[in-house]
Amino acid sequence: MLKAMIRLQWKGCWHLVVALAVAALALPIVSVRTGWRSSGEQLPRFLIELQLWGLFYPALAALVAVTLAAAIWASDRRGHHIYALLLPIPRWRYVLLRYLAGLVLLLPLVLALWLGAVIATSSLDMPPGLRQFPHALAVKFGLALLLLFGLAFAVAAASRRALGIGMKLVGLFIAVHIAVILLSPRTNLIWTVMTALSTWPGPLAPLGGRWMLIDV
Amino acid sequence: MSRPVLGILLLALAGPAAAQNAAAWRDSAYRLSTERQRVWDSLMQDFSEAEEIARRAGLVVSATTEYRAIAEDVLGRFDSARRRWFGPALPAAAGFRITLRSGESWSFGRRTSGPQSLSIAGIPDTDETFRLAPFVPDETLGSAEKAAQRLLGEYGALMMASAPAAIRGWLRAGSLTEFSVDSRREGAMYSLVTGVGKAQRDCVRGDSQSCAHALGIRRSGDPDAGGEYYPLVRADLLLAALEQGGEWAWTRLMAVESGTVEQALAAAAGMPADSLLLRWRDGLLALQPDRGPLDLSAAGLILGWSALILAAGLGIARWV
Repeated sequence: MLKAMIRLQWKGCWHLVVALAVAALALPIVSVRTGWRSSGEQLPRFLIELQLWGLFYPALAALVAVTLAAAIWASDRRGHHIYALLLPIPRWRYVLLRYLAGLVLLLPLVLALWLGAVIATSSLDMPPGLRQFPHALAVKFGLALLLLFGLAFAVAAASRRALGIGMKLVGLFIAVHIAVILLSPRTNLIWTVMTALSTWPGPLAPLGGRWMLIDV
Repeated sequence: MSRPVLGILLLALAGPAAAQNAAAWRDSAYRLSTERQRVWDSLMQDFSEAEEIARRAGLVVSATTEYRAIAEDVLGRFDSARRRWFGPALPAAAGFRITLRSGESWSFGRRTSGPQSLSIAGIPDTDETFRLAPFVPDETLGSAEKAAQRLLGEYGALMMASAPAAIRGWLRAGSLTEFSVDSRREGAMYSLVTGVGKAQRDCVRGDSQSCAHALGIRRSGDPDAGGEYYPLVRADLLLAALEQGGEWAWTRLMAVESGTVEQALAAAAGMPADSLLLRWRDGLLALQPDRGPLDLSAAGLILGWSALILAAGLGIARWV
């Protein structure tokens, strides 16, 4: 059944996968070649430019995750999940099959980025002190995709009722935050939550750090 | 009377004038200069509320009200740091005085506190002492670490002013200790590994002759050797030599008054220049991060959170 699910999802999303794969292939090549052409003689500046380009990797991962998660569930939403309800399998198994098929769709994107990183770093005349990380970067991108796809998939798989409850909880949190900040201006709940999510061991912490294809 | 007639009469009646006495002007300028210096010295030497807080091995720290709490800590940090490179040496026999000053504090149109200061002096603190009194932001004096670092930066400038001419000319920088150790070493490491010239690349590969050329110590004679490292890298080498040489490294360096930079560095470090260069290079390369963009703990964290999110997704997914 997994193969059937993969074929079904590929039919619906292949154009998105191809477009995003091209972006993933081009990103490392453009980042390195652009920086090398303009700052090849000033490597510290080249590394700073490369570090700025590194912000595009988690951004691309987020874009891929949200796009594919929405596309995977688009047909079910259009048909009000009637097809899924007719299938003689438990709900959780159906969702799991969708998820695993979605992961298979992510593989070409990770491979495209890895290929782009290898092409970008080949034939560059690097000083001996600098090191290249095409494989590590591709693995990190893949793991970031896994995390962000899981988040987007969970939201996309939720029912309208569940999403409505989620939005109400967010609204309530914002209302509490405003009330707290009026009573105690130094207390910032939103900042506290963002810090907790983005620092160790929060889920967004591994998405930070250096996304450097070439580094010291 | 017409103007031309008036002009002729004035010319005719003009006689020799007494020569001006420049001495009076000179004395006046001298008195003003002395008065200005007296006011400046008073400002440098003493804030009315500053009190001596602690003494340690020939150093005295004094501070006004707001900074008394950190004064002793600042003294300890400053003394430990400066001994690491300069030992017991002072910029001059007459001592020194560095006063960090901050301005008044205002809040909603009201003055909440007057100017504050924190001073470190090297005994004897006489009238001929070197004095520095920079204005600093409040945040510098808010932390003992930052205050000590700023004092150390100013102290480095004083020490460099008394260094041999060859070292001063080679270093081309105002202060050795302007940056913290970590940021200086990281900057030097970056410069070392990102050098694009032939000598710079060979230095990373372990050729001490190339290192000497890239650091401006000794010319290699190779026309294709390429450029040199920035002054920050030279400062790092000099401090590495002083640290290697121990307590009397600075004194030995000062003794090489008319020697070359290579001789001065070797004297300071207590070893041949080539050995110093290779040791310094190895030290910088050891600062390179030992991992790339990915580490195992981050990968484990991602897998853990992904499993949790999947379980949550399977649980909350509902059709109606």
